[in-house]
Amino acid sequence: MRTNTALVRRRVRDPNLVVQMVKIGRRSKTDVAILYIKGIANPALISEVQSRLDAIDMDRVMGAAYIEFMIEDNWLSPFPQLQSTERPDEIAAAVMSGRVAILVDGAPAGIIAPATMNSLMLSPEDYYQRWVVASSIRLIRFLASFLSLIFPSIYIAMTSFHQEMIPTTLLFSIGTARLTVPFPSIIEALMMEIVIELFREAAIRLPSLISQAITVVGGLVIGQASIQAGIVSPILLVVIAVTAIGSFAVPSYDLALSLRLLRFPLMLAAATFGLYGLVMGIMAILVHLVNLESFGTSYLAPWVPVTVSDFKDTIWKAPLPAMHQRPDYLNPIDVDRLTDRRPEKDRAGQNDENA
Amino acid sequence: MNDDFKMKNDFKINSKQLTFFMFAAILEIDSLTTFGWLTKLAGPDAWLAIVFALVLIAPGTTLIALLGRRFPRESIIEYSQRTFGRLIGILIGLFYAGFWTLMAAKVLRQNTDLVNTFLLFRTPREAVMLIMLITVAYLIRNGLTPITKLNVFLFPLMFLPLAVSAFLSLRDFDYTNFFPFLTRGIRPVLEGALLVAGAFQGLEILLILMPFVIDQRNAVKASIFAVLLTWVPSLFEMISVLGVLGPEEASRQLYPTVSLIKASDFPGAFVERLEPLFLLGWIVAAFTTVYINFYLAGLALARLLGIREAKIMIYPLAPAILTLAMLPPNILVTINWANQFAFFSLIPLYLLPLTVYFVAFLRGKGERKRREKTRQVA
Repeated sequence: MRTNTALVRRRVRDPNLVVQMVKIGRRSKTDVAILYIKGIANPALISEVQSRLDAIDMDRVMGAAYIEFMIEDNWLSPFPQLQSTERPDEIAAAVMSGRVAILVDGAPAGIIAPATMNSLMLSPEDYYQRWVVASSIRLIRFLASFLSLIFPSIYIAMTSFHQEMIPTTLLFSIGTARLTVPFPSIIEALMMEIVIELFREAAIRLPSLISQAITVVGGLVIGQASIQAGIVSPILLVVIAVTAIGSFAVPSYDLALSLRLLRFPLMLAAATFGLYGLVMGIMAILVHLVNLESFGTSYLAPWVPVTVSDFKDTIWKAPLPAMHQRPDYLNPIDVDRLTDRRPEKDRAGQNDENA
Repeated sequence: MNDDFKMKNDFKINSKQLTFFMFAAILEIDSLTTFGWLTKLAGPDAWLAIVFALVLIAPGTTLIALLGRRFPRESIIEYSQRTFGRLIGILIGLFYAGFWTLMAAKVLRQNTDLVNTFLLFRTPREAVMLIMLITVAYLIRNGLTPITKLNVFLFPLMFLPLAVSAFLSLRDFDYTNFFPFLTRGIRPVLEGALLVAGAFQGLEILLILMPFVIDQRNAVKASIFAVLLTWVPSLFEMISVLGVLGPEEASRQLYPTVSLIKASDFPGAFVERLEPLFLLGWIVAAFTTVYINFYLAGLALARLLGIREAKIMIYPLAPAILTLAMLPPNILVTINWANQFAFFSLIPLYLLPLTVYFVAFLRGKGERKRREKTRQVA
């Protein structure tokens, strides 16, 4: 536990870095540390985290996930509302930008609150890349994750409802490929999706040496054999494979999982109502996201509500010298404190860069 | 800005969000069908009707905003009761609630016709409507805050198809289509202008939203801006429909704008026919209009009955909207009714606010300009 806080402390040598220790769990008496920087993090956020942690009255706390599930805003939501990370530099960066981190004794991962869709889509590596590179990588990542959500649904909608949208030559190749397939495209896609999920699950359970062999052999053999047997069409296999790879591009494992899960209702919607169903499904997800909050922060911040100054760290990553403000959406109440501290911090950051 | 979103019950909106809100409310799929009717009416001068319509829309918007500023803490439901007395005031409130219900039903039906024409040919109407109504009900049960956020989020999805579709097929643009100029005289153009002005339903939401606006001084600017955001692309679209299809062809189409997109092709695009992609933008536009009007109808009714929570009104209103939307037997009747509804909308959009403002002015109700000015100085 102390090792973990020390890892953060080594990166943030600010005396204002507060490590508040609490004990949670009636019987397990697990040590939990709340990390924040006094003077940066919004006091409302800090007290919110503290009070939610205080409210936990459970016999045991096994790992960070227990804490996460007990303090999140909406436990019905498929989306992760807290960010979990195993990297001390990510925790340090989060604390420095005004978030609150929670470390749990014996857990390899820490929790960062609040999380937004945007922050879950960003990887700490982005900040070590040049801004042009980082921005383009992020663009691909956002595209990939969106694709991993809707690509199979688009395939299903196109092949079963809107054949006229597909270019003629492609339509022919899809048609000939699907000639031998006895199932409607939704069954076909669902089958392959489930097989892929199976591979993933198997790869986690098996020892890593065998799991690689199993997934490669299994993927190749089953893919090839199912095409030759005429159960699925090769184009669908491409779609499913791209989707599977796309979902790995999401840096947050939890978010990738929820996107994977939401793919299935969207596929059903596309199978029953075509593109219209897909659009309405996406709208329903959006409606849910719009309602979602993480510790008083809108889950879709900074896109909605629009804070233009925070756009510097979304799909587009601004050059480091231009990022001279902490995310505005994290400090809604005490703006003055932030403006007082900000130039000082910034200068320190820039000097580090130049040295 | 975030402060305003913190409190769920104490909803506030700033003028920038108001612009997005009004844009989402104004933009519906009317313009798809209105263009055909407009060209039938005014021939090659149909674009002129849209220009003339602005003459009506701009002062109308200003009037609504001024009315709101005269009663900064109340909505039309309350101040109409104060200016006209209780009975007429309640009637006016009921009228607006009914108008918004009708609007929601109308747009829902138009959207269903659109989907049935271009995307799902054999799906029953009820299913298409239900799926949208359920999504809408899911959204509005949480009140105005998520609605405002969603309006902002969906803005690019609605604006891009609107702005892009006008410029898609400029290769086939033929400016001789605009001549002869004013052959049918000015009358049909003016009539068309009235139609367009009525089709700008959505301005009137300010009548009930005004008490929620923080910086009411900018409300006029915000609403005018929202009007321009829809009006200018619509004008370009009309011009391009006329220029590419010609008045003869355009007046014969049910959805001239869609035909325009059909006529165009992107060089090297992956998808061969683009109109379903643009239709998705229109469906989103219909979706926003449906939920806004549905919610406002509920809000108006709740305020009339003195209920704080508008979401209880979802349950009686949803079946009403569904029934109303099922009334027209086919798409031609829908278009016909929608056009007549546009003329009818002139009453809640311009006439009624004007009357209320006039009477309030005569009877000295509400805050007067002068007092407001002194307060600003202080």
